[in-house]
Amino acid sequence: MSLSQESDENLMTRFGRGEAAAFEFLYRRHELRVFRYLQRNVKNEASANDLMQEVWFAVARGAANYQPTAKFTTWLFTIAHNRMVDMIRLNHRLQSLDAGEEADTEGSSLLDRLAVEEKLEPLAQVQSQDEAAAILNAVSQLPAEQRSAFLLQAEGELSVEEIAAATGSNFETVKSRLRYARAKLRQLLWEHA
Amino acid sequence: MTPKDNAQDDELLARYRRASDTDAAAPSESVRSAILAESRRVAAELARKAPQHPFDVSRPAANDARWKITAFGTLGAALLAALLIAPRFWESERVSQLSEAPAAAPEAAPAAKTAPADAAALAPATVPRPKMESIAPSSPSEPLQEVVVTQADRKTSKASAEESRQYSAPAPSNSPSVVQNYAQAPSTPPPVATSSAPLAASSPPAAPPAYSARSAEGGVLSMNADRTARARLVPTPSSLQSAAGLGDARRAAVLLDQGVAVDARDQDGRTPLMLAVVQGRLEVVRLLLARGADPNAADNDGRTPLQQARDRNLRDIAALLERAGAH
Repeated sequence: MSLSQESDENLMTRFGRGEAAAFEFLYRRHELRVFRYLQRNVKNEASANDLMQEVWFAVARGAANYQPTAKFTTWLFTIAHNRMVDMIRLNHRLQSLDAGEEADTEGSSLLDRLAVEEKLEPLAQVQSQDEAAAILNAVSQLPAEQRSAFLLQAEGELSVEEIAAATGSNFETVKSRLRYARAKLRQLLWEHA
Repeated sequence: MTPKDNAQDDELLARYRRASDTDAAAPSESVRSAILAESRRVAAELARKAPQHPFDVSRPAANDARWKITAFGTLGAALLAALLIAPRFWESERVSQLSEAPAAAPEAAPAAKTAPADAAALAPATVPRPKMESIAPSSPSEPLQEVVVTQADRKTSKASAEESRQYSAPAPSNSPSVVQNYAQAPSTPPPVATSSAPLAASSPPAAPPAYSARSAEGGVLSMNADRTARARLVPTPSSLQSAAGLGDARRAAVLLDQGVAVDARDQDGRTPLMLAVVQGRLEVVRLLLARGADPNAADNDGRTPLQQARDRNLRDIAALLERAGAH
């Protein structure tokens, strides 16, 4: 079986046996999802890059002790979440996360980053780009814990149980956070429309 | 949560993912390079640390169910074998304890070992011979042979025929006994050993049952073999009849030693002697006659062993019966 067809868990196991190529496949498969999760939580590209490096370094260094007892993505996003929380605590930014005060000053603006769907008509392209920006802006306005839970579901494709395990929260709490997050997003999108 | 809510949630997630896919945000190239470089370094380290053959991959893993089938199968077979074998050992122990009772036999060992002339002198001190007086010599010139079977005859009918040839001619009085022959030629098939010695009609009992004597003197057959034979036996008349019919002289001897009546009859009135005759079991016939079986006993149809031997043209057996007084 080629590496591209291998499951995440098998790739990790093979990397644990010294196959560098397995890690590269794994990294390419999850690179953007992890980065988006980090960037949309910390709202800072440089911090997201730092965290990204830390997270994947931790994954690589933990390969020797990796046991495929759960989904790899659960483990990966647990590391990502914990590193992000550590960084926020270190920088005394726990409260500022909620406030969403730190704007991304170093990176490009959201509208600039959003790719245009070329198959659409110019007007539709603008509308599509505008809608994407609206959704991403709405996500960034969610409270930190709701945003984190929503992004773990949307980017990490984790279940409620897995989110609860990754964040160290109660199942019902996570369920509640997700419900509030979706309600808030709908409201923000309705307001935007 | 209603299905409508679920659909709305799914639709919201789909919209988010579409929007997210259009976002060109990605980690910087330097971060990507650093991560991949670190992964290569770690991989090299892991490859170096990994044992070449951490375990035998040719064997099934502990969590592989295949080994369980083999293991449980082997265990089951071993258990079954143990169940089949254990009763024999158990019986062996029990019967060997029971068979310690006829311990007079070892004391008589020297008597059987000595020459025929000496046997008469030693005989009075030994156990009385069972009913040998009833076997009268058919001819004064032909010495009556005492034939005692000392070992089971589990051989084929061919082997029995060979032996019958051997016993059809009376051994001269000065010839070495068959026991000695067996002792000197261990390559001879050991299962049946007979002791022939001239026996005067008026002479007192000369020797105890040679079966026990030979066992005690450590002859061709060991006591252990005898014990094993005893261990398989249940001393009932039907066992003796079965042994007689099958030609198992050793088994028959053991059963007789254990007290089974030599003339025990079955539902047709047949004695073990008749069954041995019908089956042409020469050795067993000899044994039973030596142990006092009635050569003239008739079954429910009035047939005697001699008639049956003649009907089947078993001349050796018929001659033996005649010498034992059958008419």
